[in-house]
Amino acid sequence: MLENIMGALGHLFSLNSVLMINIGMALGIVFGALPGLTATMAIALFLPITFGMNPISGILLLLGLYAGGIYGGSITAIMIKTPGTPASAATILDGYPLAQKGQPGKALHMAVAASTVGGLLSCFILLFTAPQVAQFALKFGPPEYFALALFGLTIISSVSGDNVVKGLMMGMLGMLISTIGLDPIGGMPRMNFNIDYLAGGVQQIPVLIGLFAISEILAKIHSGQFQVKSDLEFKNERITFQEFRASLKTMLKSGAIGSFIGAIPGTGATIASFLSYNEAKRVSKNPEEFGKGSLDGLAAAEAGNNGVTGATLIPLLTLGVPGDSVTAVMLGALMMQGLVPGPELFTNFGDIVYAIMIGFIIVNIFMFLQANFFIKGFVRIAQIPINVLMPFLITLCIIGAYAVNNTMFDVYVLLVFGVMAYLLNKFKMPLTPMLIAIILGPMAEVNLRRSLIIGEGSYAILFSRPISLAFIIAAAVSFSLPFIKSYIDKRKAQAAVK
Amino acid sequence: MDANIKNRISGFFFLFLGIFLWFAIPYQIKSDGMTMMGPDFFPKFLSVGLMLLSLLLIIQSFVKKGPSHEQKAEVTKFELKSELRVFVVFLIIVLYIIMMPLIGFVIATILFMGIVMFILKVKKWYFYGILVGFSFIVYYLFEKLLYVQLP
Repeated sequence: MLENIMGALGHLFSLNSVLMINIGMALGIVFGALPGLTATMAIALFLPITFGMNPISGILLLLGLYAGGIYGGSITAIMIKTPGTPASAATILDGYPLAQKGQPGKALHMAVAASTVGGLLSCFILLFTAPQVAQFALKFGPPEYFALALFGLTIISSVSGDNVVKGLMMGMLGMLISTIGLDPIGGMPRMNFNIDYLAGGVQQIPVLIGLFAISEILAKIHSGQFQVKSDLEFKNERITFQEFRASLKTMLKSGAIGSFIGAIPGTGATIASFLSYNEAKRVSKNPEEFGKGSLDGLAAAEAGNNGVTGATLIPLLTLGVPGDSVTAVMLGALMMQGLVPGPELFTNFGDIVYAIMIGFIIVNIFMFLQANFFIKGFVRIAQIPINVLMPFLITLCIIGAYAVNNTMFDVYVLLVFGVMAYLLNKFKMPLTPMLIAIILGPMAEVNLRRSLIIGEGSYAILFSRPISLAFIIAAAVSFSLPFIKSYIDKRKAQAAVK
Repeated sequence: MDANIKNRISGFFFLFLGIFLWFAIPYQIKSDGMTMMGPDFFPKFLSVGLMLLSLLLIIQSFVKKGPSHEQKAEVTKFELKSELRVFVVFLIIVLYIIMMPLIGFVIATILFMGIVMFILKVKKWYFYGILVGFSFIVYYLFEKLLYVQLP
């Protein structure tokens, strides 16, 4: 193994590699930040360019894109309440309020710190425990996926704002929307009301952009507040060391959660960030702060989604199974270069594999450095009056929605969801539960049905397997916790009055 | 409108939505005859859930105390001008999207986004210039360099 590491380091410490990492990173951050363009898209776009390069440079470019992309989404999430990529949806919850309070610099810097910590943690997990983690990930079958999805869905009860009923309703609505399309098991079309275009379901990205970006743009237009300067002073403060230390534990934990989720094929950064956020809120000493600009919540979300980045390479490299859409593209890249993932990869191309893993650590370090540079730029951009920015944003959103599948239909989806979200906001219905439901709904339903098929109609299978049982219990606890807490608080208040 | 009335309206809306879906589902989903959870189970479950929750929300809106007098003062008024502005911009966006396949991305962008900027009271002319430049840059960048299709 040592010679592999030496070989890897030899590859890495070349100008070419460093250059590729940084170019990829810069581009990744830009793509991640712009709403409508995502990390996945960036990787898919630049994939062809890597064919001509030597494998290490190519992969490093892609890794830079990936880490940068996942981080970049947090910038726009914080500044304009629009996630640049789906993974940053949870960052909005605390990032945007913090920025509104006049502390965008703090928020942005915390996002960088958290992303780096999460990313580095996942690198180390990748480096030292890849085979073990892969074995564990293999144990995940439909019951486990269902239980995990269920657990994720219970977060709804805590991000519903003041009224859980409304949150649940939005969750149901979200899941209903996710049922549009082809039935995952039977294959027949569902809920498409004779519109052919809906046969493929509603695509996640136009929905996401519409829900958050378009509705926010419309809301801004409604408010008529066009001059930004009077509202916020953009102090570019950094976070203090105390603040960093206070959130370190959260960051590590969230990074671990992210790595765990990342290692499981089929789950992505979005889920990881919400789960991390939820967990952080649960154990926090100031849960009321969450949703109002808690640094801790922000750290959790960002560490969670970057924690996925390294770990998602585990199933890719060891089993040849992509952890999420991004790694699916990378799988293509690897194979084009003649590197076939699987156990053989480690024996035949050990130095390249280690170059990837160690290279990713370097990627994260550069991410930290570059991000600081970008933050200054983006804060400047945010100071441009909104009425100028808006047309550009609208255009970008439309491009982003279109580019997913090259069909105008997605743009219509964008508009529909934008208007829907605008109206829902007016009636104070929380949107986050809907988002969580749209993402996790399919995972829950498909796997529940598969589990039943495996278990031949009996629900027992969900409870007899240890991992799925564990998650179901966790789901039950997570769901009821807010209720129990408020009940206990009420009793305490009553006792105090006496 | 205060919070309770809003909830009430939402509640009724979703209640009707749930009912509508309950009846619409059998038309939309042809069950494949499997005895276990078929494709219609989940949507049905969800629409029932939606109905129940909406009822709960409606009941809640009657039970919970309405806002006090001070709170009533900060009720959101239905401002015609603001809503009109949103509506107009939205229409423009719709037109923009419809026209795009016809007159091409660059022209449509410049035209419609220019209108939007005007409505939003952008006075300084150099912003419009940036808009034009932006459209071209985006066009070249995406179509020529990256081979991403633009509408």
